Amino acid sequence: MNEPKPDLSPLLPDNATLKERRAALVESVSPGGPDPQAASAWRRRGPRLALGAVLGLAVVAVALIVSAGGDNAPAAFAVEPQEGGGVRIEVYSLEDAPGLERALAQAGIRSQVTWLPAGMLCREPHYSPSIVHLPGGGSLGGFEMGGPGDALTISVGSTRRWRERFGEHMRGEISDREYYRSIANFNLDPEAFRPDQSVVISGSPVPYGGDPEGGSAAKVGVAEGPVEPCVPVSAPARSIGSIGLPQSAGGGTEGAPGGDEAPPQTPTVAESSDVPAEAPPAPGQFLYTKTKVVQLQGWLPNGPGTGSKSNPRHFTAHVPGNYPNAPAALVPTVKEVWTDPDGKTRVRETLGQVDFFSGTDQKRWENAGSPPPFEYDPKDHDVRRNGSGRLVKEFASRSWRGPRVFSNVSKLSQLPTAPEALRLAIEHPRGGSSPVDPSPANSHRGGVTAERLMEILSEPITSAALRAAALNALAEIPGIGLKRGVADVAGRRGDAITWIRERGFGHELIFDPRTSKVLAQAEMIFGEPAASEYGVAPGTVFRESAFLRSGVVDSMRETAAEAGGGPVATASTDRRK
Amino acid sequence: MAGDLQLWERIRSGDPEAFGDLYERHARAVQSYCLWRSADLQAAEDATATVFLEAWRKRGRLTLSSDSAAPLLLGIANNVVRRQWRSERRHRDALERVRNAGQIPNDPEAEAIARLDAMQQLREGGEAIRRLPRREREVLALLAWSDLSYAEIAEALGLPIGTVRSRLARARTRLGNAFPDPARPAEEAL
Repeated sequence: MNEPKPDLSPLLPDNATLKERRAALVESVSPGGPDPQAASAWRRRGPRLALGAVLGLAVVAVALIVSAGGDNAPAAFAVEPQEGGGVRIEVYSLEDAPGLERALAQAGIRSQVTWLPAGMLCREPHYSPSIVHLPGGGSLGGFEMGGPGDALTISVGSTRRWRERFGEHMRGEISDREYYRSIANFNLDPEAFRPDQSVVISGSPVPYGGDPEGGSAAKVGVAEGPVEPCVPVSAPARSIGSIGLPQSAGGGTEGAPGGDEAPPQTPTVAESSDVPAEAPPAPGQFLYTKTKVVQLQGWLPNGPGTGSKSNPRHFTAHVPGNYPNAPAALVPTVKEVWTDPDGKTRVRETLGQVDFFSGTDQKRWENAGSPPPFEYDPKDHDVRRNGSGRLVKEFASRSWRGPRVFSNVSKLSQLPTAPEALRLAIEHPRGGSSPVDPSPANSHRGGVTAERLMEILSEPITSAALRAAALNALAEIPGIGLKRGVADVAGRRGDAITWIRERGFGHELIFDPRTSKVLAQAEMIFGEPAASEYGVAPGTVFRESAFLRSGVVDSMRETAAEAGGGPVATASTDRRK
Repeated sequence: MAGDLQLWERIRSGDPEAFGDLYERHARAVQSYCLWRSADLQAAEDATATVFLEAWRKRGRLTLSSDSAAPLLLGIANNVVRRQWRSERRHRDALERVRNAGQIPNDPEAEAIARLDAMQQLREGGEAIRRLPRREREVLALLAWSDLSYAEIAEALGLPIGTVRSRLARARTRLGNAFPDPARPAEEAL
């Protein structure tokens, strides 16, 4: 070859990944079924902290942190029957673990409860994680709780009753006081548990109110099959103190800041110092985002063109929709946008290799002088080639929201960060009533809800807790799917929310399950009839945006990496156009 | 370390660990080749897993003619890439599992950008070759993207070595000698 071979190493598995894949491969060919060792290696990172984990939890008051002794807590827990059936257990401390296990068993829930010394965790995995599917949609899996607050409360009873109660409160039919007195942090529905499923709860003291063991925090999971005894191991530094977010945002949305760093009585995640900066840029600063967009475009060389008369654009993004027969090409663009607090933007688009599906079309296009697929008006756009010969188009613009570009930030920070609460809040922003269970995505109401949740996820500045809640609320809507191990156009792997809409078209939203950060959004053809109509394979993406980098910078020439000495420091907020 | 011949004997007798060793030894080479052919990361990862599962499934019927399993694996890879997405149903689960084994990178952004650059180079570098007729493309791809000799390419593709040479010659003519082969000066005189 006359050109050096590209270095493919970033695209090849690293040693650790290779080992894991080896284990999975060996397992799949081993006689006598999966080898438990090998299985746990991949399962560990699988469902446990994943999306769907806290669905059905409607926790408003956040936390389990209790003073372990105290005048009003002579017993470790109290059980009382609840209105509408079942029981409500108020847990002041997990110290009487066997007693709590018995109480839960009496109410119909098998459990393992462990009380650990400060700074200890159960060695994982000690059970196979599982998810309880709830009647009416939604599910319950693992989550962590911590932060100042009242006792942990668990109710055992029907999901329907639980949700009705929640709805009554949202609609203002019952008072806050009555609600908090009657409802628990989470509900366990014995009807929803399979016979092999059980609840695993572990907790340990954490610093609170100046006392190094003044409070406690807990981890709740659902197991299937046998649960091994908890083997206490030292927790990594601060892991108890900062549970919930952002590490487990995909699974535990209820976490409030806990531990030694959080000021006591801090009620919401939004105020946590553990969560990266989520504020809009100050005057004189800019929000920088870098997005890779790959879009299917059609070339219409004989059409009138659009845009400026002197330089008409002969490409259209309306493929396959309006122009199923236009020669189609994948057009990759890296789009960088600097947005100032007034909504003014500078945009830099670097065009990648235009890649036609057919070699003949590619030749025709090249013979026509490789006309760029973007709109070009010399008055407004500055187009040149960069050092690598790529076409770069720069222009000044305005955010479509204008000066209100970041005005949503404070509103968003007021939204509840429990999935069900978030859904109800956006379904009736001014009160009003609605069904308690989520409506299916293909119904009008469900569709509107899904749209709004996706809008939240596409906001430029949101908290990890809100994103996690939005993802979880989305996943709870019947008709919304979840795929694991999906790669985005930048090769990053995550899980994906899928929403198949009319005629086989749909969206895919790929996110990192550990941070709830949206990695990419894709519009695609999932199946029939669109796939046949346009002659493409099911799963064909026609537009994908991968959010590569973002952060607040001090100049319109600066990128986030330059500003903060590394992507981790500056790209923590997130992405987006 | 055992050679591939020894490893293959153990694999033929049904030893999954030997199969794991073979995977670790050759997975990157197979994935490089699949990447080059498909220019699609996910497709290449899936193809790589399929190649090894195929090799396992057909282990009773396949023999190594040298102490390297590379020709055999890349030969399978060639077929897998050609009929990608038609993997058999029973492979699906295993495939899914292998695909999901492997971490989301620690520094997703920096790594994503490195990967994008590599993908971009890959797409551009292979553009001309990908437009060749299939038979010529396969031969040229193996030459460019594996360390196989002409004899091994012939083995991988199940072709006589003369055919490999003539296809290469045709491919080069077609490309206007855009792809001389400095790495193999002795073989330049086709």
